[in-house]
Amino acid sequence: MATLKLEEIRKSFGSIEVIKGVDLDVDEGELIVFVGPSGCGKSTLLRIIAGLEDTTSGTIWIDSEACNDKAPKERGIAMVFQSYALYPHKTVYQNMAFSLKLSRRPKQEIDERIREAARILQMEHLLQRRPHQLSGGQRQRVAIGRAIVRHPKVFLFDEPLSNLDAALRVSMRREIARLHTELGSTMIYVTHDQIEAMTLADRIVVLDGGEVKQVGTPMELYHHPANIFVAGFIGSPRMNFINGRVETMAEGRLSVETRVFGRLNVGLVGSVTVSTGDQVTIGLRPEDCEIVDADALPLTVSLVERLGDETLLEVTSTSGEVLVVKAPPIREYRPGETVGLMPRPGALHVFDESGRAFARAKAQVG
Amino acid sequence: MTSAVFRGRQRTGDVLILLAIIGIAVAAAFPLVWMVLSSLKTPAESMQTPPVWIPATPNLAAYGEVADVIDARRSFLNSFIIATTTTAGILVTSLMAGYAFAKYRFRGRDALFAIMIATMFLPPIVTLIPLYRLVTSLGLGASLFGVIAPHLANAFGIFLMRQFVAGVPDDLIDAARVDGASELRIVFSVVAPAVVPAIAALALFAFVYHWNTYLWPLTVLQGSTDDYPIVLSLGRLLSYNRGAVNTGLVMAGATLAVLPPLVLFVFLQRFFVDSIVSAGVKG
Ligand SMILES: Nc1ncnc2c1ncn2[C@@H]1O[C@H](COP(=O)(O)OP(=O)(O)OP(=O)(O)O)[C@@H](O)[C@H]1O
Ligand SMILES: [Mg+2]
Repeated sequence: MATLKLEEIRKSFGSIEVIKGVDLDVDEGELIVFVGPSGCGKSTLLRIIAGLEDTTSGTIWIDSEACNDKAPKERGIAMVFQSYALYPHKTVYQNMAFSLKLSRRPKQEIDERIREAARILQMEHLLQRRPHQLSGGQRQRVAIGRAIVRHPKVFLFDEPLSNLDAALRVSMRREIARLHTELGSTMIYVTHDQIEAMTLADRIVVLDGGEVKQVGTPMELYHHPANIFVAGFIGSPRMNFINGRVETMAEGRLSVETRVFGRLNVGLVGSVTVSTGDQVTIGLRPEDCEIVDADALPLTVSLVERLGDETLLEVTSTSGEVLVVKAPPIREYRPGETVGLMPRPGALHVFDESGRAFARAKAQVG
Repeated sequence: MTSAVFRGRQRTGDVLILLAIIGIAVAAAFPLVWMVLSSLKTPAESMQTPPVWIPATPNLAAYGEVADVIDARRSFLNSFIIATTTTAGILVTSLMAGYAFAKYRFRGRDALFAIMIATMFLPPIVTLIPLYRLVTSLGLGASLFGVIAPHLANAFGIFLMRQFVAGVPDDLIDAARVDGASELRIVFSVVAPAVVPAIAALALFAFVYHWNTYLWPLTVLQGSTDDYPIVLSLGRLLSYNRGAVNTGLVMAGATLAVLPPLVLFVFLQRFFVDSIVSAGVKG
């Protein structure tokens, strides 16, 4: 168990800067998830922590020890790769023993640690197999086992589940959550899957273009995204964005004129720096509006996706804007029919022209 | 195209290919068979015209005679020392340099690689004299080490290994780094097992080439017959008896000389064929 601190980390490949000054404090035993779109620098940042990649500038602290000049093996980290990266010619046992042998642990201890890891991961019966004799899920287990036996200070996972099928992903995700509780270790987990991020993380770090867009607990990110990027990235289906124009402002209240909903009133906290006539973006999650009978501003259902427990409707406004909303499954909707939408009070997000969110009142839906 | 026609055409094609293969195999094997048969003939039979194909009384007398003329045991030992040390050297240097070229990012890498490849196209005869001067000026002339030293690394081996090592996933190497393996350990414990077919193929090429090499040891050894590998000693069999060639004797010597590479080929064949096939697929 250890703390991890990143200070002003920058990384360039040639003239292209891919990590643009990342700061992060990770507490002991925390499970931190890096999410972001493909190419945003998640793997690069993880590899920098692992010591597989140099930094261009900045400092990495593990347990308040600067690690920049330390080799991966001296950092007390273990890493699980997306491709499993098992040694193909070694048995499962030998795969897990490799690092311990290299650090000259006694045979007895090596054996004990491997048996322990195998027990935790329920793969005692696989120890004598070779990687090509294992299923994808089993290989992933071995890769995790190989990390566990080292008793690392920090576990690093780079998209460990993305090669697995959907069902296995869910069960392995739970497995990793269980592992985190059982071992209590500090973990950094990279994924581009926001559901994995939401379900696993103590805190999520949202990255985009090599910058941290927001750090927070899953619920903070969900209810109080700091900007349009995070708002759009967290939550599924993604948040709807509607253009609007500021009509009036009063203490803690903003009145915005939109083409879809007409005038909307939004409750805000803190001081707001907009003036009448400014363009803003309204964010509305698909689960945050109620479907009512068509009213003065009707919307046409253009697509119906039935998921069983709920139905997703894609609706188009008369002004051509497309929104996705969640509807209860009790009523059947058909493409072409018209409906009305009512945003739930207090559910609206407002972003200024640069994409920054206006602070919302805390204590949204429980 | 109906499948029957297709199958018919395919069968004709197969037969043609098979005939061609048989033809080539016979042509390639003919000198070898002739060599072995001649070594079993009496001297009179060897000289006869028209030639005798199958010796009437096959006998191994010529093989005994080889040992009288040259120190065959010594020559074989020399050949072994030259071929095995050179092969081992080539394997180690090719693997290490191939790994560096394939997996390290460093300034001037591609230029260096291109220059190295270019040396592959120099005819050996061009470098013979300069290399000889170099080796003798280092005091290695007329010694086995002088024969071996310049060939402990070669461009083709490095090229071959680079191509194969490039196919080893980066993650595997990074995993080994995280596990605490040194770069040398990674080369020999992680990368090497992943490119076994290429290693086998390179070992075979190198061994056969350096077993059979003639011009270079002849130049370096400068008549120091004690250090002669078997191939040079065969030349002495040829000139033995003041030019009156004893065919049976020479053929017996040649048959013996061919055996070690042949045995190695049989032993490594499985890997060897494998690697040529997979090299074809990987391109
Ligand atoms: N070795 C390298 N040389 C040059 N550019 C690189 C190198 N490695 C990564 N990059 C670039 O750095 C950026 C970040 O890459 P990185 O692999 O960290 O993204 P990622 O967030 O992990 O994406 P993904 O979700 O697809 O895995 C990309 O634009 C990539 O092209
Ligand atoms: Mg990645």
